[in-house]
This record gives sequence, C-alpha cells and structure tokens, in this order.
Amino acid sequence: MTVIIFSALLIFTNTLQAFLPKFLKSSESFGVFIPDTQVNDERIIGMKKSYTKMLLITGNALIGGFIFWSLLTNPKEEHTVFVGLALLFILLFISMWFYARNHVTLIKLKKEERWGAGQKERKVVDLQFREQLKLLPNIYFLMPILVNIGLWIYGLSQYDILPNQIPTHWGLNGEVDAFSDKTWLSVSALPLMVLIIQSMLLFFNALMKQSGAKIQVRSKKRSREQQLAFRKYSSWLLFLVLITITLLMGYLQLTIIHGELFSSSYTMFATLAFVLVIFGATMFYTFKVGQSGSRLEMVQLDEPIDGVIDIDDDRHWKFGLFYVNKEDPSLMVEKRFGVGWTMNFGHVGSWIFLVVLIGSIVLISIIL
Amino acid sequence: MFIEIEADSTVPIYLQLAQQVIEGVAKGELKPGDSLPSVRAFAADLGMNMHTVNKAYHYLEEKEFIQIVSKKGVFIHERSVREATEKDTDRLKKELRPMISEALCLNLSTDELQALLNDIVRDIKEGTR
Repeated sequence: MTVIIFSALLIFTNTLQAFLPKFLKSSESFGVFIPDTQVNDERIIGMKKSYTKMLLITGNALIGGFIFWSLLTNPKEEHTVFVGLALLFILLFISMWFYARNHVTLIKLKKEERWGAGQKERKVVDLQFREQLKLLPNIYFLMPILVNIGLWIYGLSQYDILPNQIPTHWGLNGEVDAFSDKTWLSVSALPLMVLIIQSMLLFFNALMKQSGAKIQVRSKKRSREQQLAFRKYSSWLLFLVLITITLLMGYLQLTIIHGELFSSSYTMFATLAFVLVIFGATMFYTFKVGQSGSRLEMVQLDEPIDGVIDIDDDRHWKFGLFYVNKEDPSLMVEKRFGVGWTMNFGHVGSWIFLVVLIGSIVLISIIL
Repeated sequence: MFIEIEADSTVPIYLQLAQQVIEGVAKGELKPGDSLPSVRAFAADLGMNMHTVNKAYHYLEEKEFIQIVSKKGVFIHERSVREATEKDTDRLKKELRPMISEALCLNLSTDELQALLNDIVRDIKEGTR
C-alpha cells in the first residue's frame, strides 16, 4: 500500500516537473527573460524538449528501481517511507540540476548573441488594472475563520467531557495513531494550526491585490486579460483551499469532541475527498490557466508592433527563482519558473511574514 | 489606458508618467473624476520605487491635473480640462521657451513652427504617438 502511494506520488511530481516548461510563458524560459524577438528560437524549444526527456528518463528509471527494490526485499514500512522520501528529494535535486544547466546556458547565449539589441525596452502599466481586477473580497475569507473559531470555543466548552487522551495525528487509513495528554493547549492545537493556515490564505488574497501586474508590451490587451483572469482564478483557488481545509479540520475537531459519532472509514473518506478536490483544482489551475494565465484562450488580439520589447528584469531574479527587488513594493509576485506565486525577498515584509509563519508553527509543535 | 515607460530614455521616469497622464486627459481617455492607481499599486506595476510615482503625482497635482484625496485615492482633477488661467499661460510660456529657442537655433520659421504645432495637435487628438 505504502509503495503504491509513494510511487504514484513520485511519478506524478516528476511528470509534472518534466512537463513544466510547457505550461510557462514563452517570454521566460528556465528563469531567463527571453525578448519577443527570440521566443521562437529553435534552440530554446530544443532545450525544453530535452529537459522533459531527461527528467522523464532518469525519474522513471529511479522510480522503477524503487518499486523493484520493494517487491524484491519486501522492506519494513518505515524503510519504504524513508527511501520514498529520499527519492522525492533526489528527483527534486535532479530537476534542479537540469534547470540550472539550462539556466546558465541560456544566460550565456543571450549575452553572447546580444538578444534584444536595437530594441527599445518598455514597461507597460494599465491605469485601470485594479478597477477591473475581480478578486474574492477578503470578507469571504473571514467566514470560514469564524467557523473555525466557533469550533475551537465549542471544543473548549466541552473540555470536561473530553477523553484524557487527545488525538493529534491520523494515519492514512483514518485511524488515530498519536495522542497527547488533555490540556487546554492540546485541545486548542488543531484549531490554532487551522487558524494560522487560514490567516495565511487570507493574507495572500489581500497581497494579490497589491501585486504588480506584468503587462507585455507586444500584447498589451491579451496579457492584461490573462493577468486579470489568472489573479481571479488564484483568488478562487485560495478560497477553495480555505473552505476544504476548514471542512476537513472542522470534521476532525468534531471527531475529537464526539469520537463515538464517527468511524475511521469516514475520516479516510473525508481525507480522500479533500485530496481529490485540491488535486483537481491545482490541475485545472496549472493546465487550463497556466503561468500568468498564458494558457487561457483570448479572442482580443493586439496589433503587431516592432522595435519594442519588455524590460529585462533578470537582475532581480536570483538563479531565475528568487525575486529580490528592494524598489518594488509588491510582496507577492508571480513565479518565474512555475505556475503560482512567490515572495519578493527584497521586501522586509516578506521576511517578517516568513518568520511569523514558521515561528508560530514551531512554537505550537514545541508546546505540544 | 496604458502607460508605457521607456527605461533608457533621457526623460526622467516620473516625467514620462506625468506627461502620459496629461496626454490621456488631452485625448479624453482620462476624464475628470476618473481614478488613478494608488502610489503603492502603481509602483508595484512598474516594479519601481514608490518615490518615483509620488514625484509624478505631486507634479500633476501642482499643475491641477489630478487631485489626491487622502484615504480615498487619486483622481483626475475636475478642472483638468479648463480655460487657462493667467497662471497657466505664464507657466506654459516659461516651459515652451527652451523648445522655441531650440527651434530658432534650427532656423525654423514661425510658419514652420505653426505647421509643427498643428501636426502635434492632430496627432494627440487622433491618438497616434
């Protein structure tokens, strides 16, 4: 069972990673800004293809070895988990290695051949972007938070009738496999963790409104529409994650208080439903929407223009992965190699956010 | 309305911003009362310092093209399209002076200057740049 779950997980992450360049804008390849004049360069297309091929070959060979090893030696469950996790990191490392090689090669090519020379670099801003941006209002995000706080208070109000051992961990089969002694804190642990995640999601939604729009100079109308849609879907995805987490964790909170009403098969079913919904939504987000909404079909077409390209912002992207720009007031920015969002590490706010987030999670785990 | 900033231009960025907003008003793309992005949002879209946007907004506010209402936002001034006051004409005169001097150095006649002027006015109204 463990082998099957791990193999599925490994194959899935590796395949997604391998095909990632397919879901990205052509104006950014392997974390390098590609001027419009160069987006159809055969060599870049070749690099993407070979990246996909190399990752699929090495990844599937390793996963095959993993399955073969477990069939042959029938290892203990904890050994399977350990090797499976190690393999996840190895696969991640391999993809990073191929990424880095392509990243360096592209930077060199771009510099040697002076891509974009003779073109005027322009930055485009749409003055009405924020007015047209339709994110879900933050107030929507407050409602699930209130539900969670309600369940928290309810749990505390039932303190006297709770069993002396409070469940703190559930296995894959839905059975509780770890307990803590009953204290006010251990009864609060789950709602508190949920509250941290909920606040984080709310915070992201608020930050997205302030995040700078990246409108492309050669396709102003199209890129604006795609950006608006991408942000709208991002906001919906955040809300969906918020709702499903609140439901699943609220359910678990209820099983803690009224253990007799629920069975472990309900828990397993609830967890499975949760995983499937999140999985489906993420797939839709990646395949249908794509990076900056680049996979959304747009009817509105821009008149072709020559002589201008977007501003090369490579200097703000360390290794093409980490955005560091002290000038930019955005805290959240769109990922460069991936579909989603990352933080502006040149902004002190990002660091405060990370310290508070990690600090509070560590604090809760220490106290428990 | 789109604003396009040229990074390598000799015209400072804040001035490019301000001039394009004014042109938007002249064209009628920006109407009195229309709102402009907040300083923070504008700077984020540019990926540039908030100071740059602030400078542009203060420049526009001084010329009464925009109105900054604290806590509410930034708006195109109700009087952005107006009969020129004496103060406005004086300022325009002063700002045009170096341009006219340059034209005189290039031996442009008054007629040629007039033709140039008509050209620019037509360009702005017809929306080309």
